[in-house]
Amino acid sequence: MTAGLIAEGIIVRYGQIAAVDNVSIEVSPSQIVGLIGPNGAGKTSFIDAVTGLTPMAGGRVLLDDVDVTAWAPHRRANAGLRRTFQALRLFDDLTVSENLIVAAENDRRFGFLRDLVRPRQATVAIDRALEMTGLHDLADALPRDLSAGTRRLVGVARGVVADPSVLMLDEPAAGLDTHETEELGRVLQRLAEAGVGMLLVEHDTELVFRVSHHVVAIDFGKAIASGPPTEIRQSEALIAAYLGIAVDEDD
Amino acid sequence: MQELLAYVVLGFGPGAVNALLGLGLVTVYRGSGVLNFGHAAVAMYVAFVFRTFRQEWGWPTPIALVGALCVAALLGLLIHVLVMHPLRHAPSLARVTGSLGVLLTLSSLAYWQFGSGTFTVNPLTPTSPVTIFGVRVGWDRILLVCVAVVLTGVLWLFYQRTLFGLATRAAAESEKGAAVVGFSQARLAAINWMIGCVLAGVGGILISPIARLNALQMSLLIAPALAAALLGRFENLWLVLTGGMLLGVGETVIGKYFNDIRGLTATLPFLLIVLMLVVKGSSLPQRGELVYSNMPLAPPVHRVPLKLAVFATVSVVLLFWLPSSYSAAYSIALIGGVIILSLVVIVGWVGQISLCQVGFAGIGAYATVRVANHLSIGFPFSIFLGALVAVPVGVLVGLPALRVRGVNLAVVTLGAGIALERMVFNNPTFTGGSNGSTVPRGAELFGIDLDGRTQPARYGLVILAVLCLCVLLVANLRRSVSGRRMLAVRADETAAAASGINVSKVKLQAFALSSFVAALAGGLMAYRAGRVSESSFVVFQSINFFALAYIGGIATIGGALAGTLLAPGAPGALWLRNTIGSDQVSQTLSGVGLIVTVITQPDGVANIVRHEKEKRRIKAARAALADRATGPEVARPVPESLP
Repeated sequence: MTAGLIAEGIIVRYGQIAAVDNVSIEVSPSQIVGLIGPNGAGKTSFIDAVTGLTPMAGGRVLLDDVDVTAWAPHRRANAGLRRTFQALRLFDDLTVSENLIVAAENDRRFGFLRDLVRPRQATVAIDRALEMTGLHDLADALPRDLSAGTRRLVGVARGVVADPSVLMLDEPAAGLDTHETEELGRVLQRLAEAGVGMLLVEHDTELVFRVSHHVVAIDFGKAIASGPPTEIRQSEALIAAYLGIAVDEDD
Repeated sequence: MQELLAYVVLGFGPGAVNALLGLGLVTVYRGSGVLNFGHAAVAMYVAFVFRTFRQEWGWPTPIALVGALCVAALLGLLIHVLVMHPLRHAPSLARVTGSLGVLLTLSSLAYWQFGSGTFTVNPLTPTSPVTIFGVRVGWDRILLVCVAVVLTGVLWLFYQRTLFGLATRAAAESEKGAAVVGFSQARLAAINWMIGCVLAGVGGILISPIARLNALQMSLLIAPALAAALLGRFENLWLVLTGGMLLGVGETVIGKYFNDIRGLTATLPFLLIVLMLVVKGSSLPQRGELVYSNMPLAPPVHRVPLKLAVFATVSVVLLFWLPSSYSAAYSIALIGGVIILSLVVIVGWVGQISLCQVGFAGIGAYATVRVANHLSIGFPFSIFLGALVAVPVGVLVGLPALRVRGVNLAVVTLGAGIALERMVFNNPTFTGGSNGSTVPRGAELFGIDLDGRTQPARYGLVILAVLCLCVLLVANLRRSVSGRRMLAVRADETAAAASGINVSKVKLQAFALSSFVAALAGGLMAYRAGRVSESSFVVFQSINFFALAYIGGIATIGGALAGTLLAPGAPGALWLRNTIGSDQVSQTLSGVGLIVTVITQPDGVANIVRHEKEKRRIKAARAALADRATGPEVARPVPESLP
């Protein structure tokens, strides 16, 4: 059995445009895979497709050897495929710990009716997720009272609280200062040590190259480079994509 | 064939009015981004003004017409300046609520000023029919169709060819963009509001001689108007015209050939709405607006048993100590509280706007009576079983919520409320006629007589018990994982799904619970009066309860419950009637109160105190965090702003 995520030949189309065009990525447990590319390269669309939030025009998604391609987003999430959002999208009316609880708690038989009679409190441990992200003494805070950097960590904590096989992080360092980015890098490494496989979509290539075990670069929806960070760092195709140097351009 | 044709032509009249109202709705929506649920109420009010000018004050028709349309324009300006402009950056729930406030205010004002009856309006045209293609057609219909077609053409030219029209279309795409190139959004919106209301006025004036004039009935023309506007996707005026006409024709033709199914015609707009929104998946075109989409604050619940004990004690004292009229009124308020609790669940916690809660209550009431009569199951099990009957209906109404959200769902549920009212509650096949709507014997438990008619105060205790039980259920829900899931869905459906929450399931659970609770209120009403009358379940009551819950704070149990004191027949309303001498004061008050609340205190009155506490809490949190920030801390939270 191959644990972790295998996304094969993912295609996402918006009308005539292929936002993601035949991209394949594997994420094994404890592995951090970086996904980089310029704005509009299709990074977020890739995550959306793999998590089921946007329809795929082709490809398949295997999670821990199970084909989840046809599954609804919440089912994939409960099978161990979690993500964070670039825009965070925390649950504003819930405290930090409640944000984690709703993401972790499993459905029980007649859970809703039982809740009406005897409200069930959290039965799962959220402490570990709080501990690993350094949020343990902010459990009762509301997200809106926290700084942008801390809110990002809440998003990460919400992503890992259910012990996922794979966590997909969409721009987790956006808006963070250097200190906070460093701390985020440490958190990600801690998570990897704990066995979580991660797909890291990030603009901050320094962070990606520092923490990733493997890096995939995409541009215009296509994978243009793939390999160990040290190799990708030197890749000409990548430099071209980022800096806009024309390789084969007619007009 | 000839006969069918005659009915088709007959349908042109109402069809043209649907179209005119639909055009006005589109104008206002394109111009200001507001879906005006009070649009048909504007038409109704202007029609009353016209009738007064012409028939009461004896003005010549043209002058009365001009005068009434001036009133319409003024009304449009007032709605813009007093209600919608202050709400321009408010979330869409707030603006829907504002327009519901307009609807309530205008209809109760019309009741107050002009009376609650149905009025005849002298015809505007010669009544003698002409014969076209062998079909006899009244002049009034011809006039209506001509006006509708001409106005559609004029409007279309206006928006296509003038700078103002261009600016409006630009603002509909992007308010910011239009503002950047120098168009005042406020002025554009104001003028479009005036045009829209004049259109409504024209429609109202032209239909009133045909359909006669009744404040409530005419305000509900909003349903076919919405359906017509949706068919034109709030964009294509010619499709709006076509849609309106088709609806009108469809209603008369179906009314002719299926007249044994009463109220079937009234479900046409609803079916069209569902078809457009749910099946075809189209919705109101999104405007590029600057809007913060937060929902009213949903604070955690604390010390529920204690508060409930105090409330119950006070209630018992009031029920037995108050003079009988007020004691009865208090019972009514307690029943209203149950309906309001159902709104707290569905609107407050899951953020799904439902405008058919009283419809669920109606189903509960009739089902309770049926269970008691046909299955010989007595109180209190009949109420419980009757409420269970409403659950599948609630889930059915909730199904569209899986596809549409926000304002669109408000449209669907309003349509559902109207369809329920016309097709189920006005239909003897379902209600069992006057015999079928009487409970066989009054409430009784362990040999204690609790009959609502002979022992109103004792029966008040029954209501109180049910209400307290419901409060406990709903409070438990708020404290449980299921309730937090609901708040998560309310905050962000996508993020909820990505966090493993089954959004569809959560919504349907909420609809199921909400319809069950509302239906309990219906069963309680049945046993209170000993019989059920369909007038209790008109869709207006749904809107009214929504208003009352919103004023108090729709996402707070206590606040929302306080709103029930102003419900029709409740002590607040009764006191106002006794003091001022009119039934309509409390209605007007809930309309105006709704507008004022949504502008000044969108979280509801109950949260005013909470906001003060919140400020203190944040101050304390800041101080505590300032201490931490000095250490080498991982997460260094700095509160950025007060909420």
